Amino acid sequence: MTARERTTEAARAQARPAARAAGALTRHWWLPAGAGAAALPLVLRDSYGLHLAVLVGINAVVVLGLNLLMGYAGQVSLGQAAFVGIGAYASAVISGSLGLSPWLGVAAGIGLGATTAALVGAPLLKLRGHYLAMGTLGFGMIANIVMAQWQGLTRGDRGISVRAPLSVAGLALDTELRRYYLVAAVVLAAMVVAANIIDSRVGRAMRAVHGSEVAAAVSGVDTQRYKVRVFVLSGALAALAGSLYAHHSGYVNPDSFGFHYSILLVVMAVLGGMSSIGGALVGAAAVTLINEQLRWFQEFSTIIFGALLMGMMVFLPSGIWAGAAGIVRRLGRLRRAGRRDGA
Amino acid sequence: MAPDVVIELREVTKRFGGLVAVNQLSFSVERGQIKALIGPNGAGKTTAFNLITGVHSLDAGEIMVEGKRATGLPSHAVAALGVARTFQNVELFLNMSVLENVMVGEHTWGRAGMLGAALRLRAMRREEARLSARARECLELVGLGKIEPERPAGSLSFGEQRLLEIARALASEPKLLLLDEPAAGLSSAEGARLAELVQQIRGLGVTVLLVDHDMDLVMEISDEVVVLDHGEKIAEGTPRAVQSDPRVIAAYLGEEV
Amino acid sequence: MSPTASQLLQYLVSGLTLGSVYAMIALGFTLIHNATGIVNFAQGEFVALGALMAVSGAAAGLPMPVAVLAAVAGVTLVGAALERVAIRPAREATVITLVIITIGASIFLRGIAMWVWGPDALPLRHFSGEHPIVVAGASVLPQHLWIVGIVLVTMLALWLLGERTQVGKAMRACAVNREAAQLVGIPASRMVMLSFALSATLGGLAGAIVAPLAMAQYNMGIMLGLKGFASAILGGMGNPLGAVVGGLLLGTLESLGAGLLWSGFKDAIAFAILLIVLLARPTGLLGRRSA
Repeated sequence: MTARERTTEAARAQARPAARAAGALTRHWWLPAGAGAAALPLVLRDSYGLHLAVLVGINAVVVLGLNLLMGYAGQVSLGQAAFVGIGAYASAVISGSLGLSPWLGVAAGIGLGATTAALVGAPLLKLRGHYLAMGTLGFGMIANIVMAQWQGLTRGDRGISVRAPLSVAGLALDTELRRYYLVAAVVLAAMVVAANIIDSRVGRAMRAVHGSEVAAAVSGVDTQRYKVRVFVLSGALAALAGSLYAHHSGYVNPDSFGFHYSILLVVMAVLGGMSSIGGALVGAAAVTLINEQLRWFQEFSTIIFGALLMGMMVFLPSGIWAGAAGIVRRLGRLRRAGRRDGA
Repeated sequence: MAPDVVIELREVTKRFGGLVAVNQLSFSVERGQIKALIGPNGAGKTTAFNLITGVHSLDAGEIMVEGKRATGLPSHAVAALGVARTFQNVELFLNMSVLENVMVGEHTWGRAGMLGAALRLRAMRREEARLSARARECLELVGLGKIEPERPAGSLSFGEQRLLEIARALASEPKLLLLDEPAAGLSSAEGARLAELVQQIRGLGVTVLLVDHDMDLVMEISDEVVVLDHGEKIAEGTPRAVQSDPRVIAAYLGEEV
Repeated sequence: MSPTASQLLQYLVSGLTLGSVYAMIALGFTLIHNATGIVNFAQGEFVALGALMAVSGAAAGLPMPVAVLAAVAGVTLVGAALERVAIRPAREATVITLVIITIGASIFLRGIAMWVWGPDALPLRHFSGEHPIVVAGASVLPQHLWIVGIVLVTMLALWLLGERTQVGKAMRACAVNREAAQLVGIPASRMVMLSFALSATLGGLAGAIVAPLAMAQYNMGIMLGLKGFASAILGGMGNPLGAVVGGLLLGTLESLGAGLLWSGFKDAIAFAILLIVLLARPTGLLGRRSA
């Protein structure tokens, strides 16, 4: 199969379940999803499981933005950790160093993340392919270096402690469980918003840019503007996740927002299946959990991770979802052929 | 009384490195006309389309759409002036459904932004319903009304994909429709249906400028023909007049073996 | 505090030395990019492995030239293996897939490096002593001369390879037009593997010769690789001469910037230059205006 045929087949595979889903119960998928999220703590029981769930949720919010950017709009970002860091540091500085309201920190983080994305994205998104990848990488590296070097604001490698918790309606979210519910609510809301955007004029414009940039342009879509818009959206989501992270881990430090995290995020997006909302959650969960498990292997963890990465991309380039579906399809074909020849 | 001109090209020139693809091309299309751009391969026909729709930038000359300057405008701005086009190699959005492809054509007619989309405001939902209904009408018009609108665009046959692209172009309610080799790859039955469709489109008040190699189609439906050779206009007139023009014959004969 | 002439000269010396190393790494990127269109994120790991293997060779008692050659040979094999295992099976993949594959390869190789050599920085003896030569107030170490010298010789060898040998000309043909090259009988896939192997050779050599100055460590490849890439872009991706010019320029700018301005932001200089070039003139200083 040529690359073009494979893309068409993948696109059809993507569009077909989307078509079925649209008609079916997924009109209101957030109901069972919400119920599942609410019930999860009962299954998890210990606080370590909850902590992992919160991490998965935080990553999922970032990956959702990344999916919109890469899967739907067809762009790429290897510097997304920078936006997460911006949100985290905004929260840390405002509620930690300055002692102001934590929600102000969240709002500031989102605003700063969106603004930075707008300023950086306008010139960067004129690039394509590898050049865009490297441009976003460069931006991410510079942002990380600034985080480490701007001692006056960020206290550099010493980091900032975030002790003041977020509170909702007077209730302080200072336990793992309460923070879990906040993060779960945010993830759900983000997924609903993402789904709404995809199935709208704005979403169609974005996807058109991915499908055929020239056809989108002659159909009246200001392609550059839409690329920047989705980049800004992804930056805002990442910053929001960053704020949540700051309050969850209680400590913010430049090491958490470097190249390694940016790559991890892209892996989550690709592994889950870039062009799906559920894929963001699946990818975030899979990679976060694998990463945690790999810790047990200590020095082998990087080796295994690298090998897994290569293997996944060579054999399952369209992600776990589509890859699994493909394997199932192929097995079905083999079985049918066997039945024809044998029985 | 000056004719109502939908598009006018004045001394349009485009160079690619050392090659002059289009050389001081001038012609205009009157409202309600079906005009054809023909010429041997490499004559500059698709380049002319690309120049009109802002895919390439001009090196010299002017393009006016309904008296407004379209020269140097980016593609989406030209679309907003009322120019729609199809492509030689059918540029569909294979990652979207049939209906969604047409709805992208209506982009300039929608207003909903990110916020309205995110929150699914009532105004946005009303607009979506309106756009969706109109898109279905366009599908009906080009003969794809029986196709399941949620089908992926890539699952259509080639002929159907060509029609889908025309539906998308029509969805923008254009003043001028540029058709780039719409008959290429179609069977003779499909070609005949296409000819009918183009007449229908003209009947709706859309001016048509088309490029094609199918001489039967061109001669049958065009009011006027412009002949290009090596980027220059060598003849312009009614199909019959152009057919018997010795320069035109020479250009085509010179190309064929 | 304004710098003296000899201080400036000092920055220039280290800048050019570092720049030559960047140039070699940048050439590796250019080679692979020309042959395959891929940006090889694992290029930096070739450098790290070269340095580490040289350290092992020297520690095993091998004379320095042998240790260096053995290290370079070892890294070359790694490069060829990488192409065979990870790149060839994914030939038809999209840009993002290939990017992630090479990133995965770099993580994998880094993991191996840490496992075999541990996390600490390891020293390598200078090739011919550490007695500095003072020139106009700036001190030049013999290692500086070794680096620049070896890089020059390597450039010459590469040029000869490309101009005078069958293999070299075949590789160049493949880079310019793969299909045409295949039509005249050049096995394109073997050329791709050769380009990976050769680029690993360059990376490994760069690592071995810079190790005495910078020490060998499992994670030294990340920054070096990225800066090598920035050099390739600065000089014009796809142009070998551009890679060299870009490397020297980047090294010099970095050295001057760190010395004269803020040393903490030293790494940021390379990335800032990368961004500026990408945005202002993506084809780089000497790059051809590609389609």
